[in-house]
Amino acid sequence: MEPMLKVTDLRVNYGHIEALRGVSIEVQKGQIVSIIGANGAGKSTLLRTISGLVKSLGGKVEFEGEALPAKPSKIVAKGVVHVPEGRKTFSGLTIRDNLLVGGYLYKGKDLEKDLEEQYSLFPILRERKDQFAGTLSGGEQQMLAVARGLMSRPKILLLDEPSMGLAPLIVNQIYDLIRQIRDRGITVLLVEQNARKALGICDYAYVLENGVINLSGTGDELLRSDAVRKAYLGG
Amino acid sequence: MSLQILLNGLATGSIYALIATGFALIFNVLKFSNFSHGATMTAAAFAAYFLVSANGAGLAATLAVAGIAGAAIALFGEFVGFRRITLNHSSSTYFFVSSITLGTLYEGLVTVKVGSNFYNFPRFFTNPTINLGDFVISTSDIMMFTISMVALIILAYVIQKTRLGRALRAVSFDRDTAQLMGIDSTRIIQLTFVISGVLAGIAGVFLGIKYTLYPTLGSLVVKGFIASVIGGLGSLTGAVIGAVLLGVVETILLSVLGSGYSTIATFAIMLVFLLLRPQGIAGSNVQEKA
Ligand SMILES: Nc1ncnc2c1ncn2[C@@H]1O[C@H](COP(=O)(O)OP(=O)(O)O)[C@@H](O)[C@H]1O
Ligand SMILES: [Mg+2]
Repeated sequence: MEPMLKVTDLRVNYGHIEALRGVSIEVQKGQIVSIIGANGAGKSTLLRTISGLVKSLGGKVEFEGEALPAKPSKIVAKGVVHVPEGRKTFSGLTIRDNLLVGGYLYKGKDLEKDLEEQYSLFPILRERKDQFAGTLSGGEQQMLAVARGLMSRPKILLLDEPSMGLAPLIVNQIYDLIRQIRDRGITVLLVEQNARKALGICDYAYVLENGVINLSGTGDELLRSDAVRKAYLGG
Repeated sequence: MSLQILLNGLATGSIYALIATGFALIFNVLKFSNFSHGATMTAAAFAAYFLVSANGAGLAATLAVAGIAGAAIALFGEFVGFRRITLNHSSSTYFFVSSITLGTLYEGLVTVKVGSNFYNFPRFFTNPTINLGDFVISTSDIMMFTISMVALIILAYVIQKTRLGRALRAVSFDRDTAQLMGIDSTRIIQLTFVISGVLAGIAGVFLGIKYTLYPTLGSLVVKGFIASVIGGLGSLTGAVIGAVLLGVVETILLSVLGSGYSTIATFAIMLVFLLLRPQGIAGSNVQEKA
């Protein structure tokens, strides 16, 4: 089957730093695909290039068989939605306004319906909808960031380290949420340093090291692989 | 203190508020102080003067043309002076130099056209004053105060309640992340310049009505700048409060001390205020780019 998202030989530099040196990945529709790698491996750069924030030197990104537009705002409209690293909620906007900004491309009754949907998925956001996003805890901000992403009506959701800096209990909640999102038919491309979690949830995974993909396989295969266990699972 | 003086102070303060919010809007979005704002006011007011008022048009047409001219000048400035350095995330020095250069250019162009002469808008009102019981108040003061307040209320509504206003706030917080929501940040920045330019045009006409039109009229932007600092840089509400306060204090001092000492006293009070409360009325301590 043709993959939903296909990245071919992608190369990205920041000045002299080669952040991606020919990365190719495929994401099948309806799956959760994880990319694991250490800090600085190029994971965020890959997502930022797919969503148009960073321009590539070479290579291709195809979504549903077509090249993506250049502008980030046009890419979102295609259904490729990126929830950035560090949550990046708009701290001085209310929770409701954060969600409405997420739904910027949509108007009227549909927008209200989407909002209602997020509130029922995340009751805490409804309770605190008129408070500033900056008043939320880390875990709640991550929920808000994901909910805001869902407001953009993703076909594929790019999640950058959603478990970063969160307590294990909260991480489990976030991962339950990712499963729910997949079960609703939204494809997920998940980037993580937390390899155990990310490999445990995914259908397929890639290992990114210094800007190249060194290994790939199903989550189980990688969890059993010696190389992965040594480098990412503490032996 | 008489009602006339208070009203006069409020009118002055409301012009400062237009200047300060126009200034603060750009500061919010690009995190730099737009020093071409003053010359934009002058150029827009002169454009309105020569295009319509000098040919006998009324206040409404004058304000409309000044607003459009201000928006056009601001858009031009955004494209020529700021677009590239914004996209490259360049250092604040570039914004500083660009905005000063643009301001000098506009002022130079106006000077070339009008020389160092003073121009008067035609009298827009048949009755320059209105009698309210024992009080005599200036028609243009009431007009300026009312129009400024209406403009500011519309602005507050747009920013707080509309889709574009939310986008503007999101872009102010984090341009890249806003783009991930489908917002075209460049368009929103342009929109912000348009709003700022319209406010500059209206403020320019009001200053022209109050003090006559001359090429360096825009230097009064300093008052709006001070007001937005007193209010707390970047806070629009703070800017309005700071501006009205400044206008009223200044007008009262003027009536008590006369024109020489009142300016000194006004600036001294502002300095003391900023010593005591450097973050301004609205409080949060933003880092400025230029
Ligand atoms: N804006 C930037 N400017 C310069 N170098 C960058 C920038 N962003 C990332 N890098 C560099 O690119 C490499 C990959 O970074 P990144 O994609 O953030 O990795 P990861 O998300 O896997 O931690 C690192 O060496 C990092 O230092
Ligand atoms: Mg990263």
